[in-house]
Amino acid sequence: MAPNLLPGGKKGTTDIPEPASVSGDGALPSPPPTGPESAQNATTSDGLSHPAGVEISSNINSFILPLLWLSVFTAAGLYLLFSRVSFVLAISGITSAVAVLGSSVVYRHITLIRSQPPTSIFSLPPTTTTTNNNNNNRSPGVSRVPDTSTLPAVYLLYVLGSGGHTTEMLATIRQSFRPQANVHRRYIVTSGDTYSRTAVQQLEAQIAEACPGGEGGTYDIFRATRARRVHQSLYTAPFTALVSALCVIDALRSGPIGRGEGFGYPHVITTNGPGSGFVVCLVAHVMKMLGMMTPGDRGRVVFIETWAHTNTLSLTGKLFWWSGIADLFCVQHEQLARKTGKKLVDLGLTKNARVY
Amino acid sequence: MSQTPALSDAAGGIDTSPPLAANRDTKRQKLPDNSYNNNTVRGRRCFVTIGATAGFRQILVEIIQPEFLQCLASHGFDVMEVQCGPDYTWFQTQVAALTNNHGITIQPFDYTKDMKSHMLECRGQAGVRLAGCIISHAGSGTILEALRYGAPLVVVPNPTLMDNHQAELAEECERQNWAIYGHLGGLSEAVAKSQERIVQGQLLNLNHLDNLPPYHPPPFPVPAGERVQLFDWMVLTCYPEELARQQHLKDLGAVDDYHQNRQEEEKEESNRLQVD
Repeated sequence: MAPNLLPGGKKGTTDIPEPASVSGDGALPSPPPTGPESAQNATTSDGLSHPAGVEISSNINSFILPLLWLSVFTAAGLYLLFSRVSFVLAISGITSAVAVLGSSVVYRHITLIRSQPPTSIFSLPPTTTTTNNNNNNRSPGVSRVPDTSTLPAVYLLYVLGSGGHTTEMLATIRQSFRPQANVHRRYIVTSGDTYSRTAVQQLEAQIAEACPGGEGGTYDIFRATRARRVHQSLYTAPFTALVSALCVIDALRSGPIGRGEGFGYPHVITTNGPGSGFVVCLVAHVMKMLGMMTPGDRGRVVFIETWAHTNTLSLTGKLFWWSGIADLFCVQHEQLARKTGKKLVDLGLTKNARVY
Repeated sequence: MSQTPALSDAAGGIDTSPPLAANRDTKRQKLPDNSYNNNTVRGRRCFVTIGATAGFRQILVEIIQPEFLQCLASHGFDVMEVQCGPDYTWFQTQVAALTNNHGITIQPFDYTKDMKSHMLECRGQAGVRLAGCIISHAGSGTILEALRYGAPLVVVPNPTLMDNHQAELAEECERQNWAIYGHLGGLSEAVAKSQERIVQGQLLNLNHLDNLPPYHPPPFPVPAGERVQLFDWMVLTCYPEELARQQHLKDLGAVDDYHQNRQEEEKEESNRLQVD
């Protein structure tokens, strides 16, 4: 699970060979995160203060998290205590604990979904932004909106799947790239996928060429096991997904090497369709539910339905739709936008297509 | 549909008669003035790509049928490169067993890291080569890449893959005039149609597909007006104060735009009044 970079955080070229015992391929899963301490660290990870009332932790929520953990331990404890004494007692105790657990999970999930940012702030096609004009009457600073270069840290996580998904994701990154030194990009690449890592290295080489002084930001590549192979049966898919989820927890928690405090958890997790994308976002959502990633200031999930799907959602798209965990759900074709009611976005992928 | 002559006619010398729409031969071109005398415009090239993930044997079966090879030859193609994927060895045996190539050189290979160079060979360029044809599986990555290079594209969905969203994508490409939907069993018709479109394009504009300028990759980083900004906004949602400030600025920008548009309109009005 060693990420792919040189010391100092500059562009990395070769993979650091991993010792077999801590391979990211699922040979040994990482230990489960400890509870309340991680929550403490997460809230102060970026050092910025938030005005009161904007964060998600209202009064009720501050009870829910401890309740969640309490019920987990209670269920385990009850089982250990009573399984020898009375089967019925153990079962009833465990059932009530699980009921509390279940309801607090559901409540937490619903609260998280309600706290997703409204999408009305995004402009739709890139060509209708306000930066097209070159007039002098404009208020200063307007042409640079939105501007993330003054933030202490910008940590972007991209989940890359196989083939077409990767190409599209990288094209999207190219279309959205702006030279900024405070950016770190992490790419989650599944273990069998050599195409993705070569493509990422090409993109980062292009960025390094365009921004020689390191103003392009830093990057690393994280290898995780696959959630589902092409043509793999959908019945065995949940099991491989679980193994891959354990890798993903590590990917989300370990910040980039050589960057500062602000890079604890990613700001934005983007995916466009591979199964592992949904696994990553689901893990992020669970981490938000458990309070590890304070949902107010980290872990925004962006799902962009792949350009290949013009009329129907992909399987991953349906999963995102049904679970509602995406903070931003975009589609790229008008027909699909009408059908699903989700936001249409033009990533400029076909802007050079020659109509004939 | 115009019948183009065999390659050997164009190889010796180029006819520099002015391009009249009615009796135009797509093979014989008017060379630009600064061309070299012995620079022969190469024939059309067909590039068939199956993709990097799954096999697609049905296409491979069809492209070595005599009807397809004859169709290629009659439109001025001389080389067909085939990216076969997993069926490479099988395809090689099939090609070796062919008795008549109809003048088409078939060059198969299994995978490539450099799709771009193969696809650019199918892009028509003034004085260099005629526009060929890319026949591609309906993978979105391949399609998007092919669209960037300005070569005529035929998209063929693979019916054996998980669900048939590929067919819908191919339909959308046809609807937007980015590519031609190629049906298995009808690839010859698709290639013929694409060649027809080239001829039609010549009638409409000067910069048609046989005479494009050399390929230039788009600028990077992307100019500010075309940048995709949604990721920046998403990052800003993590910092509510900053987000509010920048949303306010954006609204100010909208107000500025409105005022500027009003000013321009008023200026136009006053100009018109003065002219009158």
